[in-house]
Amino acid sequence: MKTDQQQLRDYLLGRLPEDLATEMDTRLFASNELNRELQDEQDSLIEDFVYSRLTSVEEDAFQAQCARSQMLQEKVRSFRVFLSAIERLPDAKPSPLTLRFQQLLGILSPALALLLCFASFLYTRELRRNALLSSQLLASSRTDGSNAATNEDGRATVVAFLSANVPRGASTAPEVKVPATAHLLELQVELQPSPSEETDWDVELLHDTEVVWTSAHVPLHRIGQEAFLSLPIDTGSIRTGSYVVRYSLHADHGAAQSRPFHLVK
Amino acid sequence: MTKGQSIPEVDAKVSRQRHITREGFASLLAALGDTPPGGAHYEQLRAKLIFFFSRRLLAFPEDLADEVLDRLAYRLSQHTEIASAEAFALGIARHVAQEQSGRKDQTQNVDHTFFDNVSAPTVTLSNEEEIVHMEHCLKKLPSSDARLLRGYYCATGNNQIKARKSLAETLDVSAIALRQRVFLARQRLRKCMTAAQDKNRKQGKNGK
Repeated sequence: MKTDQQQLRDYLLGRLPEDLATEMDTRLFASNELNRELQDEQDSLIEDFVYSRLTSVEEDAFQAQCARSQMLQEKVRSFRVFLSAIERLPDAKPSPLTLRFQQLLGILSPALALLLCFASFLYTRELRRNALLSSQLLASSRTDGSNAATNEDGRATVVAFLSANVPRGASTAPEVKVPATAHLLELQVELQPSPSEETDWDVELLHDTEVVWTSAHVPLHRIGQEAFLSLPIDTGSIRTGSYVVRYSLHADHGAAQSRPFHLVK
Repeated sequence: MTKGQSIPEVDAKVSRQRHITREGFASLLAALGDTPPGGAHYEQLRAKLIFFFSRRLLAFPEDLADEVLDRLAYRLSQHTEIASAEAFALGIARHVAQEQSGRKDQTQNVDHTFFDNVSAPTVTLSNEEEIVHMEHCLKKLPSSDARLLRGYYCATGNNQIKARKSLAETLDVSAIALRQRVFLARQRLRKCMTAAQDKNRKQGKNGK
Protein backbone atom coordinates (compact mmCIF):
# COMPACT_ATOMS: atom_id res chain seq x y z
CA MET A 1 0.00 0.00 0.00
CA LYS A 2 1.40 3.37 -0.98
CA THR A 3 1.33 6.07 1.63
CA ASP A 4 0.65 9.67 0.89
CA GLN A 5 3.86 11.73 0.72
CA GLN A 6 2.61 14.32 3.20
CA GLN A 7 1.59 11.57 5.62
CA LEU A 8 5.11 10.10 5.40
CA ARG A 9 6.61 13.50 6.03
CA ASP A 10 4.35 14.15 9.00
CA TYR A 11 5.26 10.75 10.45
CA LEU A 12 8.97 11.53 10.12
CA LEU A 13 8.53 14.94 11.74
CA GLY A 14 6.38 13.54 14.55
CA ARG A 15 3.40 15.55 13.38
CA LEU A 16 1.03 12.70 12.49
CA PRO A 17 -1.93 12.09 14.86
CA GLU A 18 -1.12 9.27 17.28
CA ASP A 19 -3.70 6.79 15.97
CA LEU A 20 -2.42 7.09 12.41
CA ALA A 21 1.17 7.01 13.59
CA THR A 22 0.54 3.84 15.61
CA GLU A 23 -1.03 2.20 12.57
CA MET A 24 2.02 3.18 10.53
CA ASP A 25 4.33 1.77 13.22
CA THR A 26 2.63 -1.60 12.82
CA ARG A 27 2.94 -1.48 9.02
CA LEU A 28 6.54 -0.39 9.28
CA PHE A 29 7.51 -3.46 11.25
CA ALA A 30 5.38 -5.81 9.16
CA SER A 31 7.11 -5.19 5.82
CA ASN A 32 10.01 -3.38 4.25
CA GLU A 33 8.05 -1.30 1.73
CA LEU A 34 7.12 1.44 4.18
CA ASN A 35 10.68 1.51 5.47
CA ARG A 36 11.93 2.20 1.94
CA GLU A 37 9.27 4.88 1.40
CA LEU A 38 10.25 6.57 4.65
CA GLN A 39 13.92 6.55 3.72
CA ASP A 40 13.06 8.07 0.34
CA GLU A 41 10.90 10.72 1.99
CA GLN A 42 13.62 11.48 4.51
CA ASP A 43 16.04 12.13 1.62
CA SER A 44 13.48 14.50 0.15
CA LEU A 45 12.99 16.19 3.51
CA ILE A 46 16.74 16.73 3.90
CA GLU A 47 16.94 18.16 0.40
CA ASP A 48 14.07 20.58 1.09
CA PHE A 49 15.71 21.56 4.36
CA VAL A 50 19.07 22.25 2.71
CA TYR A 51 17.39 24.32 -0.01
CA SER A 52 15.15 26.13 2.57
CA ARG A 53 11.98 24.82 0.99
CA LEU A 54 10.33 23.66 4.21
CA THR A 55 7.50 25.59 5.81
CA SER A 56 8.45 27.25 9.05
CA VAL A 57 6.55 24.60 11.05
CA GLU A 58 8.29 21.79 9.19
CA GLU A 59 11.65 23.48 9.53
CA ASP A 60 11.27 23.85 13.30
CA ALA A 61 10.25 20.23 13.60
CA PHE A 62 13.14 19.11 11.43
CA GLN A 63 15.67 21.14 13.41
CA ALA A 64 14.34 19.62 16.61
CA GLN A 65 14.75 16.14 15.05
CA CYS A 66 18.31 16.97 14.04
CA ALA A 67 19.09 18.10 17.55
CA ARG A 68 18.00 14.73 18.89
CA SER A 69 19.66 12.57 16.29
CA GLN A 70 23.31 12.53 15.40
CA MET A 71 22.46 10.23 12.52
CA LEU A 72 20.14 12.82 10.99
CA GLN A 73 22.82 15.49 11.41
CA GLU A 74 25.22 13.19 9.62
CA LYS A 75 22.71 12.65 6.81
CA VAL A 76 22.30 16.41 6.32
CA ARG A 77 26.05 16.88 6.24
CA SER A 78 26.46 13.98 3.86
CA PHE A 79 23.85 15.45 1.51
CA ARG A 80 25.79 18.72 1.35
CA VAL A 81 28.90 16.76 0.51
CA PHE A 82 26.93 14.90 -2.15
CA LEU A 83 25.74 18.18 -3.73
CA SER A 84 29.28 19.55 -3.79
CA ALA A 85 30.58 16.37 -5.38
CA ILE A 86 27.86 16.18 -7.99
CA GLU A 87 28.39 19.80 -9.00
CA ARG A 88 32.01 18.97 -9.71
CA LEU A 89 31.09 16.12 -12.01
CA PRO A 90 31.81 16.98 -15.64
CA ASP A 91 28.68 17.92 -17.54
CA ALA A 92 27.71 14.94 -19.65
CA LYS A 93 25.46 17.07 -21.86
CA PRO A 94 26.65 17.05 -25.48
CA SER A 95 27.46 20.40 -27.09
CA PRO A 96 24.89 21.92 -29.50
CA LEU A 97 27.33 21.28 -32.36
CA THR A 98 27.56 17.60 -31.44
CA LEU A 99 23.78 17.44 -31.16
CA ARG A 100 23.39 18.99 -34.62
CA PHE A 101 25.91 16.56 -36.05
CA GLN A 102 24.06 13.65 -34.40
CA GLN A 103 20.76 14.89 -35.86
CA LEU A 104 22.33 15.21 -39.30
CA LEU A 105 23.81 11.76 -38.98
CA GLY A 106 20.42 10.44 -37.96
CA ILE A 107 18.86 11.82 -41.12
CA LEU A 108 21.68 10.76 -43.41
CA SER A 109 22.31 7.33 -41.96
CA PRO A 110 19.54 5.51 -43.94
CA ALA A 111 20.86 7.06 -47.17
CA LEU A 112 24.43 6.15 -46.25
CA ALA A 113 23.37 2.60 -45.43
CA LEU A 114 21.63 2.32 -48.81
CA LEU A 115 24.70 3.67 -50.59
CA LEU A 116 26.90 1.23 -48.73
CA CYS A 117 24.62 -1.67 -49.72
CA PHE A 118 24.75 -0.61 -53.38
CA ALA A 119 28.54 -0.25 -53.32
CA SER A 120 28.83 -3.67 -51.67
CA PHE A 121 26.61 -5.16 -54.37
CA LEU A 122 28.76 -3.66 -57.16
CA TYR A 123 31.95 -4.80 -55.48
CA THR A 124 30.66 -8.35 -55.00
CA ARG A 125 29.47 -8.50 -58.59
CA GLU A 126 32.86 -7.32 -59.83
CA LEU A 127 34.59 -9.91 -57.65
CA ARG A 128 32.44 -12.65 -59.11
CA ARG A 129 33.12 -11.46 -62.66
CA ASN A 130 36.86 -11.42 -61.99
CA ALA A 131 36.70 -14.90 -60.50
CA LEU A 132 34.79 -16.16 -63.55
CA LEU A 133 37.25 -14.54 -65.93
CA SER A 134 40.19 -15.99 -64.02
CA SER A 135 38.71 -19.48 -64.14
CA GLN A 136 38.08 -19.12 -67.90
CA LEU A 137 41.64 -17.97 -68.48
CA LEU A 138 42.97 -20.81 -66.38
CA ALA A 139 40.91 -23.33 -68.33
CA SER A 140 42.10 -21.79 -71.61
CA SER A 141 45.74 -21.90 -70.55
CA ARG A 142 45.36 -25.55 -69.59
CA THR A 143 43.95 -26.32 -73.07
CA ASP A 144 46.33 -24.32 -75.25
CA GLY A 145 49.49 -24.33 -73.27
CA SER A 146 50.72 -21.43 -71.25
CA ASN A 147 53.59 -19.11 -72.06
CA ALA A 148 55.83 -21.21 -69.91
CA ALA A 149 54.73 -24.67 -68.96
CA THR A 150 56.31 -27.96 -68.08
CA ASN A 151 55.69 -31.03 -70.16
CA GLU A 152 55.03 -34.45 -68.79
CA ASP A 153 58.67 -35.41 -69.46
CA GLY A 154 59.74 -32.45 -67.37
CA ARG A 155 60.86 -30.26 -70.26
CA ALA A 156 59.86 -26.61 -70.07
CA THR A 157 57.97 -25.25 -73.05
CA VAL A 158 57.59 -21.64 -74.03
CA VAL A 159 54.77 -20.51 -76.29
CA ALA A 160 55.03 -17.51 -78.61
CA PHE A 161 52.11 -16.28 -80.66
CA LEU A 162 52.77 -14.29 -83.84
CA SER A 163 49.59 -12.36 -84.46
CA ALA A 164 48.53 -11.46 -88.01
CA ASN A 165 46.59 -8.41 -86.83
CA VAL A 166 49.63 -6.25 -86.19
CA PRO A 167 51.10 -4.97 -89.46
CA ARG A 168 54.83 -4.62 -89.02
CA GLY A 169 57.74 -3.65 -91.17
CA ALA A 170 61.06 -5.46 -91.14
CA SER A 171 62.49 -3.09 -88.56
CA THR A 172 59.63 -3.65 -86.15
CA ALA A 173 59.64 -7.43 -86.10
CA PRO A 174 58.18 -8.83 -82.85
CA GLU A 175 60.59 -10.10 -80.26
CA VAL A 176 60.32 -13.58 -78.84
CA LYS A 177 62.15 -14.17 -75.58
CA VAL A 178 63.14 -17.71 -74.79
CA PRO A 179 64.20 -18.34 -71.20
CA ALA A 180 67.31 -20.43 -70.64
CA THR A 181 65.24 -23.09 -68.87
CA ALA A 182 63.00 -23.65 -71.91
CA HIS A 183 63.83 -26.67 -74.04
CA LEU A 184 60.97 -26.30 -76.47
CA LEU A 185 59.57 -23.27 -78.26
CA GLU A 186 56.06 -23.65 -79.56
CA LEU A 187 55.74 -20.94 -82.15
CA GLN A 188 52.14 -20.23 -83.08
CA VAL A 189 51.73 -18.35 -86.36
CA GLU A 190 48.31 -16.87 -86.96
CA LEU A 191 46.92 -17.10 -90.48
CA GLN A 192 44.74 -14.39 -91.92
CA PRO A 193 42.40 -14.56 -93.60
CA SER A 194 41.49 -17.74 -91.84
CA PRO A 195 41.73 -20.62 -94.33
CA SER A 196 38.56 -22.53 -94.98
CA GLU A 197 40.23 -25.83 -95.74
CA GLU A 198 41.80 -28.06 -93.15
CA THR A 199 44.88 -28.92 -95.18
CA ASP A 200 48.52 -29.31 -94.17
CA TRP A 201 51.04 -26.54 -94.62
CA ASP A 202 54.67 -26.43 -95.70
CA VAL A 203 56.60 -24.42 -93.15
CA GLU A 204 60.23 -23.34 -92.91
CA LEU A 205 62.01 -21.41 -90.21
CA LEU A 206 64.89 -19.41 -91.62
CA HIS A 207 67.75 -17.77 -89.75
CA ASP A 208 69.12 -15.37 -92.36
CA THR A 209 69.09 -17.75 -95.30
CA GLU A 210 69.73 -20.90 -93.30
CA VAL A 211 66.79 -23.22 -92.78
CA VAL A 212 66.84 -24.21 -89.12
CA TRP A 213 63.53 -26.01 -89.02
CA THR A 214 61.18 -27.35 -91.70
CA SER A 215 58.05 -29.45 -92.05
CA ALA A 216 55.77 -30.25 -94.98
CA HIS A 217 52.86 -31.40 -92.91
CA VAL A 218 52.08 -28.78 -90.35
CA PRO A 219 48.38 -29.05 -89.50
CA LEU A 220 46.11 -26.07 -89.10
CA HIS A 221 44.84 -25.40 -85.59
CA ARG A 222 41.69 -23.45 -84.78
CA ILE A 223 40.47 -21.81 -81.58
CA GLY A 224 37.24 -20.00 -82.23
CA GLN A 225 37.74 -17.72 -85.24
CA GLU A 226 41.51 -17.87 -85.03
CA ALA A 227 43.52 -20.26 -87.20
CA PHE A 228 47.20 -20.81 -86.63
CA LEU A 229 50.10 -23.09 -87.32
CA SER A 230 52.02 -24.57 -84.45
CA LEU A 231 55.76 -25.10 -84.83
CA PRO A 232 57.46 -27.16 -82.09
CA ILE A 233 61.10 -26.04 -82.19
CA ASP A 234 63.92 -27.43 -80.11
CA THR A 235 65.55 -24.42 -78.47
CA GLY A 236 68.93 -26.10 -78.78
CA SER A 237 68.80 -25.60 -82.53
CA ILE A 238 68.19 -21.86 -82.42
CA ARG A 239 70.07 -18.88 -81.08
CA THR A 240 69.52 -15.15 -80.68
CA GLY A 241 68.90 -13.42 -83.97
CA SER A 242 66.39 -12.54 -86.70
CA TYR A 243 64.19 -15.27 -88.04
CA VAL A 244 61.50 -15.60 -90.68
CA VAL A 245 58.73 -18.14 -90.75
CA ARG A 246 57.82 -18.97 -94.34
CA TYR A 247 54.66 -20.97 -94.94
CA SER A 248 52.49 -22.06 -97.85
CA LEU A 249 49.71 -24.56 -98.51
CA HIS A 250 51.19 -27.99 -99.04
CA ALA A 251 49.23 -28.40 -102.28
CA ASP A 252 49.97 -24.90 -103.57
CA HIS A 253 53.71 -24.71 -104.18
CA GLY A 254 55.17 -21.27 -104.62
CA ALA A 255 52.64 -18.81 -103.06
CA ALA A 256 54.41 -18.57 -99.73
CA GLN A 257 53.84 -16.03 -96.98
CA SER A 258 56.37 -15.04 -94.37
CA ARG A 259 56.38 -13.68 -90.84
CA PRO A 260 59.60 -12.19 -89.41
CA PHE A 261 60.47 -12.09 -85.72
CA HIS A 262 63.51 -11.52 -83.53
CA LEU A 263 64.49 -14.21 -81.10
CA VAL A 264 66.29 -13.49 -77.84
CA LYS A 265 67.71 -16.30 -75.74
CA MET B 1 27.34 26.74 23.18
CA THR B 2 29.59 24.73 20.98
CA LYS B 3 28.82 21.80 18.81
CA GLY B 4 30.71 19.49 21.10
CA GLN B 5 28.59 20.54 24.08
CA SER B 6 25.27 20.53 22.32
CA ILE B 7 24.14 17.03 23.06
CA PRO B 8 24.55 15.90 26.63
CA GLU B 9 26.40 12.69 26.26
CA VAL B 10 25.76 11.07 29.60
CA ASP B 11 22.67 12.25 31.43
CA ALA B 12 20.11 11.97 28.72
CA LYS B 13 21.32 8.69 27.34
CA VAL B 14 19.44 5.61 28.14
CA SER B 15 20.77 3.98 31.22
CA ARG B 16 20.86 0.38 30.35
CA GLN B 17 22.71 -2.79 30.95
CA ARG B 18 24.12 -4.35 27.84
CA HIS B 19 22.94 -7.91 27.60
CA ILE B 20 24.20 -8.63 24.12
CA THR B 21 26.67 -11.41 23.77
CA ARG B 22 28.32 -13.03 20.79
CA GLU B 23 25.79 -15.85 21.03
CA GLY B 24 22.88 -13.42 21.39
CA PHE B 25 23.97 -11.44 18.35
CA ALA B 26 24.30 -14.62 16.31
CA SER B 27 20.80 -15.66 17.43
CA LEU B 28 19.46 -12.26 16.41
CA LEU B 29 20.99 -12.45 12.94
CA ALA B 30 19.66 -15.99 12.54
CA ALA B 31 16.17 -14.93 13.64
CA LEU B 32 16.21 -12.09 11.10
CA GLY B 33 17.41 -14.45 8.37
CA ASP B 34 20.77 -12.71 8.06
CA THR B 35 24.04 -14.44 7.40
CA PRO B 36 27.11 -12.69 8.74
CA PRO B 37 28.81 -10.49 7.76
CA GLY B 38 26.00 -9.08 5.57
CA GLY B 39 23.49 -8.02 8.23
CA ALA B 40 21.12 -6.30 5.77
CA HIS B 41 18.01 -7.31 7.71
CA TYR B 42 19.63 -6.21 10.94
CA GLU B 43 20.30 -2.77 9.43
CA GLN B 44 16.73 -2.59 8.12
CA LEU B 45 15.30 -3.36 11.55
CA ARG B 46 17.59 -0.80 13.14
CA ALA B 47 16.45 1.85 10.61
CA LYS B 48 12.79 1.05 11.41
CA LEU B 49 13.46 1.41 15.11
CA ILE B 50 15.17 4.76 14.57
CA PHE B 51 12.13 6.00 12.61
CA PHE B 52 9.90 4.70 15.41
CA PHE B 53 11.76 6.63 18.13
CA SER B 54 12.34 9.72 15.99
CA ARG B 55 8.67 10.22 15.27
CA ARG B 56 8.04 10.09 19.03
CA LEU B 57 10.51 12.95 19.36
CA LEU B 58 12.66 10.95 21.74
CA ALA B 59 16.28 11.86 22.18
CA PHE B 60 19.01 9.63 20.80
CA PRO B 61 16.82 7.39 18.65
CA GLU B 62 19.91 5.47 17.48
CA ASP B 63 20.80 4.53 21.06
CA LEU B 64 17.20 3.53 21.79
CA ALA B 65 17.17 1.37 18.67
CA ASP B 66 20.36 -0.35 19.85
CA GLU B 67 18.75 -0.86 23.25
CA VAL B 68 15.82 -2.67 21.62
CA LEU B 69 18.17 -4.82 19.55
CA ASP B 70 20.18 -5.68 22.67
CA ARG B 71 17.06 -6.75 24.55
CA LEU B 72 15.81 -8.73 21.57
CA ALA B 73 19.14 -10.52 21.22
CA TYR B 74 19.12 -11.30 24.92
CA ARG B 75 15.62 -12.81 24.72
CA LEU B 76 16.67 -14.88 21.72
CA SER B 77 19.77 -16.13 23.49
CA GLN B 78 17.51 -17.21 26.39
CA HIS B 79 15.63 -19.38 23.86
CA THR B 80 12.42 -17.42 24.20
CA GLU B 81 9.99 -18.62 21.55
CA ILE B 82 9.53 -15.74 19.14
CA ALA B 83 7.31 -16.09 16.07
CA SER B 84 8.37 -12.85 14.41
CA ALA B 85 11.53 -11.06 15.49
CA GLU B 86 10.34 -7.79 13.93
CA ALA B 87 6.96 -7.85 15.65
CA PHE B 88 8.69 -8.69 18.92
CA ALA B 89 11.09 -5.80 18.35
CA LEU B 90 8.10 -3.45 17.96
CA GLY B 91 6.75 -4.65 21.30
CA ILE B 92 10.09 -3.99 22.99
CA ALA B 93 10.33 -0.61 21.25
CA ARG B 94 6.95 0.43 22.65
CA HIS B 95 8.10 -0.58 26.10
CA VAL B 96 11.37 1.35 25.76
CA ALA B 97 9.44 4.37 24.47
CA GLN B 98 7.25 4.29 27.57
CA GLU B 99 10.33 4.12 29.75
CA GLN B 100 11.74 7.13 27.99
CA SER B 101 8.58 9.22 27.96
CA GLY B 102 9.46 10.57 31.37
CA ARG B 103 12.65 11.99 29.93
CA LYS B 104 10.93 13.62 26.96
CA ASP B 105 10.57 16.97 28.60
CA GLN B 106 14.18 17.25 29.51
CA THR B 107 16.07 20.09 27.95
CA GLN B 108 17.41 19.47 24.48
CA ASN B 109 20.38 21.55 23.54
CA VAL B 110 20.34 22.55 19.92
CA ASP B 111 23.61 23.20 18.17
CA HIS B 112 22.79 26.48 16.45
CA THR B 113 26.06 26.57 14.56
CA PHE B 114 24.96 23.42 12.79
CA PHE B 115 22.11 25.31 11.15
CA ASP B 116 24.19 28.27 10.01
CA ASN B 117 24.12 28.75 6.25
CA VAL B 118 22.19 25.54 5.81
CA SER B 119 20.82 26.42 2.40
CA ALA B 120 24.24 26.90 0.88
CA PRO B 121 26.31 23.74 0.80
CA THR B 122 29.42 24.77 2.67
CA VAL B 123 32.70 23.12 1.94
CA THR B 124 35.16 23.12 4.76
CA LEU B 125 38.63 21.74 4.60
CA SER B 126 37.56 18.68 6.58
CA ASN B 127 34.80 18.00 4.09
CA GLU B 128 37.13 18.19 1.13
CA GLU B 129 38.45 14.68 1.55
CA GLU B 130 34.92 13.33 1.82
CA ILE B 131 33.87 15.22 -1.30
CA VAL B 132 36.76 13.66 -3.18
CA HIS B 133 35.63 10.21 -1.96
CA MET B 134 32.09 11.00 -3.04
CA GLU B 135 33.28 12.16 -6.46
CA HIS B 136 35.24 8.95 -6.80
CA CYS B 137 32.14 6.91 -5.94
CA LEU B 138 30.03 8.93 -8.36
CA LYS B 139 32.50 8.13 -11.11
CA LYS B 140 32.37 4.45 -10.19
CA LEU B 141 28.59 4.38 -10.58
CA PRO B 142 27.13 3.35 -13.94
CA SER B 143 27.20 6.45 -16.14
CA SER B 144 23.39 6.39 -16.38
CA ASP B 145 23.16 6.68 -12.56
CA ALA B 146 25.64 9.56 -12.43
CA ARG B 147 23.78 11.38 -15.23
CA LEU B 148 20.47 10.75 -13.46
CA LEU B 149 21.73 12.17 -10.15
CA ARG B 150 23.27 15.16 -11.83
CA GLY B 151 20.13 15.88 -13.83
CA TYR B 152 17.96 15.43 -10.74
CA TYR B 153 19.93 17.52 -8.28
CA CYS B 154 21.87 20.13 -10.21
CA ALA B 155 19.05 22.45 -11.16
CA THR B 156 17.71 24.68 -8.38
CA GLY B 157 14.56 26.68 -7.61
CA ASN B 158 11.80 26.64 -10.20
CA ASN B 159 14.27 25.26 -12.71
CA GLN B 160 14.53 22.15 -10.58
CA ILE B 161 10.84 21.34 -10.96
CA LYS B 162 11.06 21.86 -14.72
CA ALA B 163 14.30 19.91 -14.97
CA ARG B 164 12.87 16.94 -13.09
CA LYS B 165 9.71 16.95 -15.17
CA SER B 166 11.80 17.08 -18.30
CA LEU B 167 14.05 14.30 -16.99
CA ALA B 168 11.03 12.07 -16.30
CA GLU B 169 9.74 12.74 -19.82
CA THR B 170 13.12 11.99 -21.35
CA LEU B 171 13.33 8.70 -19.48
CA ASP B 172 9.65 8.05 -20.21
CA VAL B 173 8.83 7.37 -16.56
CA SER B 174 6.45 8.89 -14.02
CA ALA B 175 7.65 11.36 -11.40
CA ILE B 176 7.31 8.63 -8.74
CA ALA B 177 9.34 6.14 -10.79
CA LEU B 178 11.97 8.82 -11.30
CA ARG B 179 12.22 9.35 -7.55
CA GLN B 180 12.58 5.62 -7.04
CA ARG B 181 15.40 5.49 -9.56
CA VAL B 182 17.13 8.38 -7.85
CA PHE B 183 16.65 6.69 -4.48
CA LEU B 184 18.22 3.46 -5.76
CA ALA B 185 21.11 5.33 -7.36
CA ARG B 186 21.78 7.08 -4.07
CA GLN B 187 21.61 3.76 -2.24
CA ARG B 188 24.36 2.47 -4.54
CA LEU B 189 26.33 5.61 -3.86
CA ARG B 190 25.93 5.16 -0.09
CA LYS B 191 27.15 1.58 -0.34
CA CYS B 192 30.23 2.77 -2.17
CA MET B 193 30.85 5.47 0.44
CA THR B 194 30.38 3.02 3.30
CA ALA B 195 32.82 0.61 1.69
CA ALA B 196 35.35 3.43 1.21
CA GLN B 197 34.95 4.51 4.86
CA ASP B 198 35.38 0.92 6.08
CA LYS B 199 38.51 0.60 3.97
CA ASN B 200 39.92 3.83 5.40
CA ARG B 201 39.10 2.66 8.92
CA LYS B 202 40.91 -0.64 8.36
CA GLN B 203 43.92 1.15 6.86
CA GLY B 204 43.94 3.47 9.86
CA LYS B 205 43.95 0.50 12.23
CA ASN B 206 46.73 -1.21 10.32
CA GLY B 207 48.69 2.03 10.35
CA LYS B 208 48.58 2.03 14.12
